[in-house]
Amino acid sequence: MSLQPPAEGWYETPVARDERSWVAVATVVCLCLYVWMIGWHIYGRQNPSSISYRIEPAEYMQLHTAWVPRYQIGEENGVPVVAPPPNSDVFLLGQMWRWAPVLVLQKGQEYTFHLASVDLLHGFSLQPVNMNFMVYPGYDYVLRFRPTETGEFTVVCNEFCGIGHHMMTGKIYVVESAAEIEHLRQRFQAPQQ
Amino acid sequence: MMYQAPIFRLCEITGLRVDRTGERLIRANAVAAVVAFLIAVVGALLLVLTRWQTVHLLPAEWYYRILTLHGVNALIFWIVFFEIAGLYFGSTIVLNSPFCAPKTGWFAFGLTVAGFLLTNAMILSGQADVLMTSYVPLQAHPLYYLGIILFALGALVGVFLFFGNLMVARRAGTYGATLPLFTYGLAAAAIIAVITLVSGAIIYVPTLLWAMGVLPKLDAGLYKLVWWGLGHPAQQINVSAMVAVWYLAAYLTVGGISVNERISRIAFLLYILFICLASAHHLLVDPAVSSVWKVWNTSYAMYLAVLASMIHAFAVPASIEAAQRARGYTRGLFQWLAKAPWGNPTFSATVLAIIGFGFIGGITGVIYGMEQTNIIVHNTLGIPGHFKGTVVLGTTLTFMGITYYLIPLVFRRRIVGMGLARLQPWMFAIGIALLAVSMIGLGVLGVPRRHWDIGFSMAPFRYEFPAVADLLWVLFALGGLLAVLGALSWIGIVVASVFFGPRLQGAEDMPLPIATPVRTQHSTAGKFVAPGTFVLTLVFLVTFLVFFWLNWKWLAATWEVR
Amino acid sequence: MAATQEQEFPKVPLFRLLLDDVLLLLFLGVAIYAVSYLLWGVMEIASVAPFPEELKAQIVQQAGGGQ
Repeated sequence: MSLQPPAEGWYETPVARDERSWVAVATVVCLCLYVWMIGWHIYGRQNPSSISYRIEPAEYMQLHTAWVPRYQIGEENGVPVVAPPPNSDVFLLGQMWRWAPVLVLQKGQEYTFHLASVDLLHGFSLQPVNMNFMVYPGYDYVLRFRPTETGEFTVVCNEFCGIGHHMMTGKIYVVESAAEIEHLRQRFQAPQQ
Repeated sequence: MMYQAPIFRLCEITGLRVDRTGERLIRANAVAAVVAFLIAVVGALLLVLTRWQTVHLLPAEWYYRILTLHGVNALIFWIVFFEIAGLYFGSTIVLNSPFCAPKTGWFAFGLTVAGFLLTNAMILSGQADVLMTSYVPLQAHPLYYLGIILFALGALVGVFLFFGNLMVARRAGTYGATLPLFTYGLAAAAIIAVITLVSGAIIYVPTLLWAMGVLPKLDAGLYKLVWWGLGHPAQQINVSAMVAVWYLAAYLTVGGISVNERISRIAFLLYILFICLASAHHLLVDPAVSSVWKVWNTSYAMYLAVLASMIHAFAVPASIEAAQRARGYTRGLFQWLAKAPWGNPTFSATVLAIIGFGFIGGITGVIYGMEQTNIIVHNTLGIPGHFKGTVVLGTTLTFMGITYYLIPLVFRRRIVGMGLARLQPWMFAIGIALLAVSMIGLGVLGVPRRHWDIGFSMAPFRYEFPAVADLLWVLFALGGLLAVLGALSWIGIVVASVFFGPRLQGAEDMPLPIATPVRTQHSTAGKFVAPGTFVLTLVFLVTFLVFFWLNWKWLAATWEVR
Repeated sequence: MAATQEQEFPKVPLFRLLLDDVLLLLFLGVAIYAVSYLLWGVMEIASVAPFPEELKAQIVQQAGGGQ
């Protein structure tokens, strides 16, 4: 009785066949789940990285500001548009309430993203791919991304960061090859309406 | 101070001796719980009508404010007040034992009420628009943090009183060497509560000092790590308490007892040892902590605590099935279920909670909490969708259900509105299930949580979610409104019964009968004691595997990241 | 139920004693969580390396050149 101490011999009561079988099955499933996560680190292509650095917000801002002009190809809606070379470092900045810069990447190439904030926590949410990572002040989260499709992608902030939180979006373009970047350069150097 | 001998009343229904001061403490905490729940429900209504942007009821500032209010009142105040009442009930009345220190109990109650009032005042006055998680460097007014600290302190004292009650009962020999299973489950909850509240102290005290300007800086990574040592174990208290109440409800409604006490207790042991590790699932896509730390901790130590839940998933329905089979309902696989007392709202609430917690909350919880699949769900609407399945459809509905026995037994009143009471668990369950599933669906589409405008009307770059989102939002609203109706019905019944219900005259006045326990016989070795339950758990397993496969497939379709 | 047996002390399995001992369980629960989640987690956060100087210098230098 749940309201009374268990009947005498409760500890020695043999486990019924169905409960025993279920517990055995459940145990196997549980161990498999654990091994699966570890296995995905070896064989899977999507894993959060374990690479991060400590960096003061002011320092990161300095890095970002120094890096942006080098591969900048224009501007969209007041945000610099940058087309970094493959296998290089990309310094994405989250701040209240914008993402900078707009990025132009090439499909199939890998880029070393640095994600950091200069004020509060932000959430890097790439749509419609739906990949989500946290962006911290004081920490640089290093993630190596390889876009697997071309198109236009929006970076939504999905970590509450104050009253302007829902206005915080960014943009990433993925093109087939370096040739198309020229196209975009024309588009983003046109005077903004 | 003079020792005051406890005054008991003899309950003519259960034969238990009830310490009268202890009973008053139980009642006080239960009433406070319902007040907090009402605030949470009103908040929920406003939030549902805001996120459904066809209405978009609240302006941005108030949306984030009410979101804070709803989170704190629903996830902390309502549930902890109710659990304190439950802890006191399980450690005194159930054990035929006095309350160890009533004055301390009232002191603890004073602290929790003071904290509850202060925190809510700070939120409503706009000085704590930080959401329940209050992630540093977001900063609220110092009094907000003080309010939470006061509440946590009061709760911690209550938890220690629970342990004190157990020691008193043990010394007096009222229960022998082994606690009843219900109280055992509450003890697991109380242990987890210690972990929760001590973590809370470790994080909220420095945060208070930082908000006051005494501490110059607080590391955002440290804050989030330690905060979730409070935040998620708080929900694991709920899991353990909920399961304990499931066993209790099975006993009261059909006379069910655990088919194997040793196995049920081992499951609670696994909760105690490992369930709190999985706070790590809030940091799976965060910097600073390594994948090794993440994978070990998020797995609850190789999923041993998940094994515990799966054990209860069999053991609780099996206790019902075994009792029903002993009553003669042995035809086929499910006659025991068909002939169960569905007209008893405690029974229906409990079964609906088991199904909802398992299929919606549990399945999403395990898969969302795996390190890599978290990438496609973190901070999407799927996350609150998941925990509507656990803490609302599971714990809250379970607590709602058991009050239909606790009001007559502890408040000594008949239930007012029994007809509505029979409907109420269904309204709430179906409403929340619809709400949760639509949120999970919206999360799959990438819709963010805690976001006032997914039309991005004021943002430099717009994004349009797929058209099916519109349908899901309608289902979200419908589910939410139905759930609010179910919740307000429960509140109405409870308030009417407790304050205006006819007084209980005796056992024959009980609105819901306490089932006579059945002798479930002889040796169970080598037998199937609950074949129907066994089939149901296999169905659950298959559902889990399907959802597992879907999510890992979706993950594999995203960009590569390492 | 009598609390003491005078004639025999039946050997109670250790595991059963563990299951019944709420205070021991409290200690184990707190200890395992404190070490595995809290302490280990704090250690990892505290040992996050600072941003590498060479990379920083490289970025800033390139910027100077690019202007």
